[in-house]
Amino acid sequence: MISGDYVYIGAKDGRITRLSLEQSGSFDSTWGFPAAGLDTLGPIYGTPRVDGDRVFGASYDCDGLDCEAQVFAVSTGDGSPLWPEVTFKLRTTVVGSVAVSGDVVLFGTSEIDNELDPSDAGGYLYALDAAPDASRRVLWRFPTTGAVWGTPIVSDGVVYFGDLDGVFHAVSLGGEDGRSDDAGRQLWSFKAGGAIVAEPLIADGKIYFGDFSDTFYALDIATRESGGSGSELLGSGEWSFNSDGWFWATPVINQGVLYVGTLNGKFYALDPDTGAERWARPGSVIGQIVGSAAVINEVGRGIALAVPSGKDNIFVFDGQTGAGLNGFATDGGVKASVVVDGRFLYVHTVDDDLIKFNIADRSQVSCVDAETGAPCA
Amino acid sequence: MGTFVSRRFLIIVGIALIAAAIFRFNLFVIGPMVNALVLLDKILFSNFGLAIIFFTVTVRLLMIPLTVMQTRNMRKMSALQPRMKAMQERYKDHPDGRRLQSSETMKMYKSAGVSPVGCLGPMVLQMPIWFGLYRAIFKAVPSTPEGTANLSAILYGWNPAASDVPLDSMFIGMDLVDLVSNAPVPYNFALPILVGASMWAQQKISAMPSMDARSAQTNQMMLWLMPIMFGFFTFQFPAGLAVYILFSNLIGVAITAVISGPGALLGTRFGTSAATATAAVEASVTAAEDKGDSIDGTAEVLGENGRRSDRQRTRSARRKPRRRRNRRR
Repeated sequence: MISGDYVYIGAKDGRITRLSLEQSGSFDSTWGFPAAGLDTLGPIYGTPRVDGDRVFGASYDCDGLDCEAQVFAVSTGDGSPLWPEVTFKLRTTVVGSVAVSGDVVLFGTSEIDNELDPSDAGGYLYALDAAPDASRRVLWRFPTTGAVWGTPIVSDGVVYFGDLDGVFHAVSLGGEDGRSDDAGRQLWSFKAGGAIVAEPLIADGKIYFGDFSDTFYALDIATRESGGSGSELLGSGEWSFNSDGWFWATPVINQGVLYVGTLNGKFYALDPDTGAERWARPGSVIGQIVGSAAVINEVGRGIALAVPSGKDNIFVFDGQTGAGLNGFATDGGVKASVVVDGRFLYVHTVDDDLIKFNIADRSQVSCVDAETGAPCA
Repeated sequence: MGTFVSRRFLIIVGIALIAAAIFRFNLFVIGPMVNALVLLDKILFSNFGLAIIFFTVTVRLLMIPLTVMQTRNMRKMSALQPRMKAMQERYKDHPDGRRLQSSETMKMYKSAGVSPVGCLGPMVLQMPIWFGLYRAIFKAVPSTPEGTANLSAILYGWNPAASDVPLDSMFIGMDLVDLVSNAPVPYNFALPILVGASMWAQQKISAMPSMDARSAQTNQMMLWLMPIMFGFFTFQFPAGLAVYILFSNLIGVAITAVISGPGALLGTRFGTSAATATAAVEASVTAAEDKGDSIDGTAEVLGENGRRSDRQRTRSARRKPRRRRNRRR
């Protein structure tokens, strides 16, 4: 995630690091979490979230099936932990990223082990108080039948997320501080055809997400809130699009076109109002599309989409026609979302290399190891 | 000629299949297994344990022809034991005894219709299934996000259960993906014991009696050693694989009991059907002898004292190529 003068990265070795956006793309070796002497974290799958001068993230590690997740808040200034307990720990997995709304931190979990009062819930949406001096860290939690691997998003006081049972939920945040009476109350739900892992996208009153039944959905928030559609049926202004692969990546919307990729490497351009395909045929990536694509400006050509491949390389497609353009060469696969800052594209590979590319000529500006900051081997 | 061609064709096809399975193990073994398990899970009330058991039953039923062939071969080999013993005694002090024994053994097998490969068939086929299932269980119920994403590449587009993942790996209180040693009491010790006991029963019921005291001793040791070893190995297997091996052994015992009778397990080897097999083998070997196709070969190449003269050796060496040509014709 880009914030201020830095790109923040969560690494597989359980460290949050950052790369300077300055020309050389240098690694900030003075900043990182956890510092020496603190408990180590497990692999970080989600993207760190920066909110003001705070960075939030989550990690988990398993010994067999015995898992421990840690959620943390650290200072952008010196990387020190903001909570007295350093990390909030749960005996579960946290796969997705955290979402931050004011002083509320939200994240999804799988089922919780070793609870004093065990329930049948397959997972939870947790809401934590982000304040350092919070008397009680957990504000509320919402149980789900399936584990929550996706990232929740917050819009107008409502938290939206999907679970592995294929249920998409809309849950009340409970006001700005997450403490009102309706906090954690389900407003509506929608049963999709398969598990939902992708982080949803909200644009123009619609929620877009895909699932494991090869289906991509557009739900209309107003229709849902008015009860104008059933929990398994699409209502007015809503549509679904069938592909031939699972959806994992977050969709992207730009200039009235919705872009989304599947795990079998297909990349589609859709009409956000109707779901109709905009390109004659989808783009094709060698490998899985796990991370979200980024919109880049091609000089004299208009916009293009940089699509990460889980196998290797970043593929580029013309935004208007879907024609394949010159891509960015990487040695390893890319499962993290690609981010763009002006003329540069930032990529985090599965080998933990942080690569900065010049968009204009596709050249590599810098490449460092996410763990040590040393130049790539 | 037709039999020869078809047998050669089958061998080539068999080798090609084995090579394909080895070099494209994921494509030809893991992929079908994962898809079958996911589909069975959907059919069997989203119960991964039942899916594994049903998969085991299906595999064993498909292998019944091979199991029958194996059992019959072993029975025939068992019936040949007295003749083999006599032949070994006869050639014991002969300078060229080893070669002659080997040659006569093959003749004996041929006359009795015994295929040594047929004894190994089901066992050889089981090995890739075990290796494949070990990996297929982890792939069908992955424990990491990467594994789940990779599963999408393994599941066939036409598999109606492809959208039903991730699967629930819990079965009667144990996680089928977790190691047996991590399973709750009593599964953590009951599964290894049951796997070992069922393997003992499987070996016991299909064991071939040996005329040789040393072989009999070795067989007896293996009868106990293998199940005990496998029992210990089971601690480090995923529980799902242990369930597969347990049910595979139990079904194997049942099939062998139907074919041979439960006598072996109860201590009376092979029961009445074995006597019939012995009689049939005796009849076929005797018929071969009557046709002049010497099984023991002693009358043809050995002198009265059991030693072959130089002249006889030369005559035998000269005659052999001609006999082969005659046979082909």
